[in-house]
Formats: sequence, structure tokens, C-alpha cells
Amino acid sequence: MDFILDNMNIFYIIGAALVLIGIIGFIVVTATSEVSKKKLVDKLSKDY
Amino acid sequence: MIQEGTVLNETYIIQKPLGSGGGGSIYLAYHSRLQKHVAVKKIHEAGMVPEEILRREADILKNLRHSYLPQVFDFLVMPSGVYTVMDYIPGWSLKQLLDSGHKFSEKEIVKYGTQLCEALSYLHSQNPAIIHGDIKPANIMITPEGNIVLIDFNISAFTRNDGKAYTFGYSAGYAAPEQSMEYKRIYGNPNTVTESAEAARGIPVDFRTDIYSVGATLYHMLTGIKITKAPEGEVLTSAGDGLVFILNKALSNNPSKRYANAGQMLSAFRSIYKLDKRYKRMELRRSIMQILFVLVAAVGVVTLYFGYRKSQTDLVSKYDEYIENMIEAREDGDVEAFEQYYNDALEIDSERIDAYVERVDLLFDQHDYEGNIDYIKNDVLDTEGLEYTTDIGYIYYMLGLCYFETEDYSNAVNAYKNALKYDSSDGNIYVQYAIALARTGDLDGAIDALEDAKKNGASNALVYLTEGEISMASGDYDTAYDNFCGAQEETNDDYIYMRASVMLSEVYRKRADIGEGDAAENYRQAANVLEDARMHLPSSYKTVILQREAQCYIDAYNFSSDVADAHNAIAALQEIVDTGYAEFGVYDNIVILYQNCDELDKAGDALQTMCEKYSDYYAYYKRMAFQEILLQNEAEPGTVDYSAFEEYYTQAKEMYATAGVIDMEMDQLDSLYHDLVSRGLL
Repeated sequence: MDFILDNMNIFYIIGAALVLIGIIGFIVVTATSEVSKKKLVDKLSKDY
Repeated sequence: MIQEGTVLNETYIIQKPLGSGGGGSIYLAYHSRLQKHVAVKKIHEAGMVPEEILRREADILKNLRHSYLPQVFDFLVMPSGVYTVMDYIPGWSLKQLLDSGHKFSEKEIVKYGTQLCEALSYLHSQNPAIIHGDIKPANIMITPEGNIVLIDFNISAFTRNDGKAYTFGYSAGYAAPEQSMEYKRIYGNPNTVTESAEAARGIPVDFRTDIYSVGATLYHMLTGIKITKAPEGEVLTSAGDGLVFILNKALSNNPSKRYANAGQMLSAFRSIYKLDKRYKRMELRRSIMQILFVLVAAVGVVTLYFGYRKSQTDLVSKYDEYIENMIEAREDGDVEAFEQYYNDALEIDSERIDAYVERVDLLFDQHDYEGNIDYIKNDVLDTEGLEYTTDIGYIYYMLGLCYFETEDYSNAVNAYKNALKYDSSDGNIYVQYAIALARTGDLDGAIDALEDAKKNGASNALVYLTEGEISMASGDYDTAYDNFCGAQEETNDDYIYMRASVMLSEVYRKRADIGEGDAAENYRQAANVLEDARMHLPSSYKTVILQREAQCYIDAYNFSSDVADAHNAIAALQEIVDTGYAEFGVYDNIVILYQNCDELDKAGDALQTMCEKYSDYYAYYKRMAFQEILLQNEAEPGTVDYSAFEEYYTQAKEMYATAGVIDMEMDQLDSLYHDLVSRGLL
């Protein structure tokens, strides 16, 4: 563990943060857009 | 015209006319057995065309079961005409609704379009597929329930093997451009009778002509305008995005740009919302956001990769730094620091060979040849995953040198052979290999190896050294002497200089052994050669040289009994003591030499120094016992007292019992003790 911490560098921290943001962001966007899409489809179905 | 009340086939009671079209007149009739209303269609062309053509509609519809298609019950060929009996569809045709000025909403158009495509998709999926060929408002009924029924299969046709069907008519304003143009090309004026083979075959139609007709029908419903000429570009612009897209695609002048079949158009209707701008905008927004986050994650992965690369580079730099520190520590003689850096380097990368090479060099510098052999065999070569570079050759080379220094020449030969497997272009290895072979007595092998050494760029000094070794092994000491002198003169390498000097001294010792000249003088010459080498070489070689030098003087003294030789030997041994690396034998030899020179006071002083380090070793008490014997031998009569001897003897005896060694001097001491006891002196 100490060995890992000794060799940890700023790239690891930034990289891990970006990967995390990317994955979480992707999941959130996908989930919220599914809800929005469902609402819009309901509305459009009424129009058509 | 059939009169009301007419009974056809004793079953169908004609009630009233419903309408008339190109194919025939339709009447509402009552099915007397089923007691339900049916539609009876009297076909106009009866008598002019073959029956199989008259049966076309009935044959097409008889096997079909679909909510949006009529069902055929009967086909009658009677003297009064040919009749098709089918479902009666109450309600109005789209044409009637359009003619009455009914405005269709987009929602209605999408609904009827979807139902129309469902019915058409059903027809297109039959085997063989059925092409309706005449889809238009007049042929689409709207039931009281608000659903469509596609009627009038008068000019419908089955597709053939080439995917085309052939029909004999079209409805202007609804038929696809290629259908109407082909009709006009083949048949010209509708009133003209054409009797060519092409005319007999009919107009080629396919799924896409039906698709166009659906589009034209829906277009008429949406705009209230019938398409009068073939469309160019997009015909519809002002409606819902989805409907505009579907109708423009269906009404494409180019058949290949239309939906390929009704199934595709049906799918478009069912997911028409996907064609809406709002839906597309939302999808685009979502895609952009998703791509953005994927990019962020990708940048993260790239950053992590750079992190990994950087950490690897850092580790390599750190490892290299430790290697440099190890070299410095080795040069400074700081073994503790060296070991720390060595362990740190191994923690980073235990498979890289550099740290092992440095430790092999350290142990060699310390002249710890046995320890180095154990280290190389057990720690270095047994390391799992060790990188195999030419440095492995160097490791074997060093192993060979260590075996050589411990005078294990057979193993040295094997080690050099292994070294040559990894690095066969190093003249130094061939040289050492040749020398080891010479030491084992394999002179031919040694000469061959020397030739290889010369071919691989061995230095002159090494060639001299090897030739000297070969001459030495063959007993030609004069030539050996010249060669070793040549090696000394040619080399800049301290280790080679040391080896050449040692071998020069060995030439003198050999001359003494074979009785060539004065033996004591030969030993002195050997010592002088070594003394000169000691002056020339760095301090790291001091101990090794001094040990040999002292031995030469001791050997000279043994032949000459010249006290000067003993004193020279003592001086050499004392210098070894001063280095701090002296072992018991060095102290012991000093004492013995003083005792042999009758300088018992100095021997006593040397024993005192020995006591500080070896008071728990039996040999110290043994030497003290001998000292006591010598002291009492010189004591004045009447003052002789062997009690101290007895004390040292007893102590030495007790410790010797557990020492696990065989010492002839202890037997000698026993004899002395028993002699004294027998003489009553103890």
C-alpha cells in the first residue's frame, strides 16, 4: 500500500476523477433522458 | 341493373344498389341462410374476358383474413352475369367523405395511414405477395367504428418470381408515376384496343407502387388536393414533421427512394414521433451529452495511462538512482548503505539485473568469493523472471572468477562456458576461460580459448597473462616470468595487475619448490614482487597481497631462520591487523613468529591484542599455553610454575571439545601436559 501511495502521481488522481465523472455523467444523462423521452413520446403520441 | 328482390343462386336477395365502379356494380343483398347483409358485386366484363380473370378478385381475397380487408363468401357464374359475394362494409368511403368536404386531422391521417399500411403489409407479406395496384380514397371504406377497410381488388395481382406483378389499370392522381406512364406507353389511349404481348401481360407494379398510392391518398386527405402530375422534390412542407417526412418519402418520384414495402412504412407510422423535430432535438441533446461524458472518461483513461507511464518512468529513474547510490556506497566502502539501496532497488524491480550485478561486484571487491558464489547461485540465477541480457554473461563471468579465486578451477571452467553462451564476443571471458583450463591441466583447450580471446579483442595484457598461465602450467617458468612481466607493463586494470603480480610471485615460489637457486632468496623475491604490487595497487587489494607477502616471508624464514625474514613477515601481518580485516590466523602467526624469534615479550603483547578479539576461542588459550611453556623454559630454576599453563591448557581443552575442528597442535599440547604431569611438575 505504501509502495502504491509513494508512486501515486497527479495524473492518477486527475485521470481517476475524469473517468469517474465520465461514467457517472453518462449514467445520469442516460437515465434522465429516458424519463424526458418517455414524457415527450407520451405528448407526441397525443399529437399524432 | 338488377331489380330489387331478385334472388341470386336461391340465396342472395338483392335489396338496393350501393354504387358502381370500373370493375362492376355493387348491391346490398341479404344472405337468406346466414341471415346477414352481404355485398354482391356484378362484374362488368363478364362475357368479354375469360373466367380466370373474372375470378381474380375472389381468388385473391378468398384466403385472406384481416380486420382491414373484406372477406369473400361466394363467386357465382350465372346466365345473368358473374357475381362476387363479399362482406358488406357499412359506412362511407374516403372519397365520399372528401367529396362532402370533410377535413381530416393529422391524427386521423396517421391513424388511417397506419391501418392502411397494416392491411397492405399483410398483403405484401403473402406468398406470393399481393400488390393491390389501385389504392385510392374510393377503395377505402371507413366503418362506423372508425376503422378502414381496403376494398376493390379488381386489378390486384400476385407477384411473380422477379418480384413484379402485372396489372391492367391505374387511377389517375393516386397511381405511381411509373404505373401511369407505363400504362400510357403500353395501352396509349384508354379507348384504343392494343393486342401486343406486352399489353396482354399488363403493367408491371411492385410494393413501391402501392406505397406511392398510399402516400397520394393520405396527401389528398391532408390537403384536400389530388396530385395531378408526377411530383418533383418534396410535395409536402406544411404539416407535422413526421407526417411530412413519411409522405414525402412515399411520394418520391424515384421508386428506389420510397419505402421498400408496406412493413417499412408501417414502422415509420408506428414510430412517427421519432421523426418529430422535438424528439430529434432531444435525442441530439442526449447524444451530445453522452458523447461529452464518454470523451471525459476517455480523457481520464488517457490521463491514467500517462500516470502509469510516468510512474513507470519514475520507478526506472528511482531504480537507476539506487544503482548510482550503490556504486557510490561501494566505492566509499559503506556496505550498510549499499545493502539498503540494494533492497530498495529490488523492491522496485526484482527482475532487473543491474542491482544484482552491483552486489556481485561488491562481494568480489570484498574478496568474499565463497559468499559471492552462494549469492550468484542461490539469489541471482534462481530469481524468477530475471531479465536475461548480456549481463547474465557477466554474472557467470564473475562466478567463474570467484571459483577461480577459491581455486575451484573445474567449476570456474563451467561458469566461463555459461558466460560465453550469453556473450560470445567478450575477449576477457575467453582469457579467463583459457586460464581456468590451464589450471585444470587442459593445455590444448587453453591454447584454443586463447586464440578465441585474441579473435575477440582480448587486450595484450590479458594475452600475456594467459600465455604466462599456460607456460606456468607446462612448467616453463622463464617464459611464464616474461609473460607476467609483460602483463604488468601492458595493463591499466588493477585486477589484472594484481593477478600478474601474484603469478610472478608464484614463479619465484615454483623455483624455490623445484630447488632452482636459493629457496629463501626466491621467497624473498616473491615477497618483493608482491610488495611492489601492493605499492602500485589501490588499498582494496592490500589485504590479499599482504597475506601472500607475509606467507612468502614466513616461507623464507622457514628456510633461512633469518630473523629479518620473520620481522618482515610480522610487519606484513601487522599491516593486515591495522586494516581491521585480520582473522585469527593473522594474530596467531604474529605470536608464533615472535615466539620463534625468542621475542616472548612481544609475543605476549600480541597475545594481549589477540585476547581482545578471541577470548572465547580455544585457539587463543592454546597459544597462551604454548607461551607459558616457553616462558617457564626461560624461568630461573626454582621459580618454574606451570600452574598458568595448566589453567590455559584446561580452558583450551574444554573449548576445543565443542569447537568441532581437528587441531594437531592440541595433540602436541596434550603430550606436553602429560609429560609435565609424569615429571611431577603438575
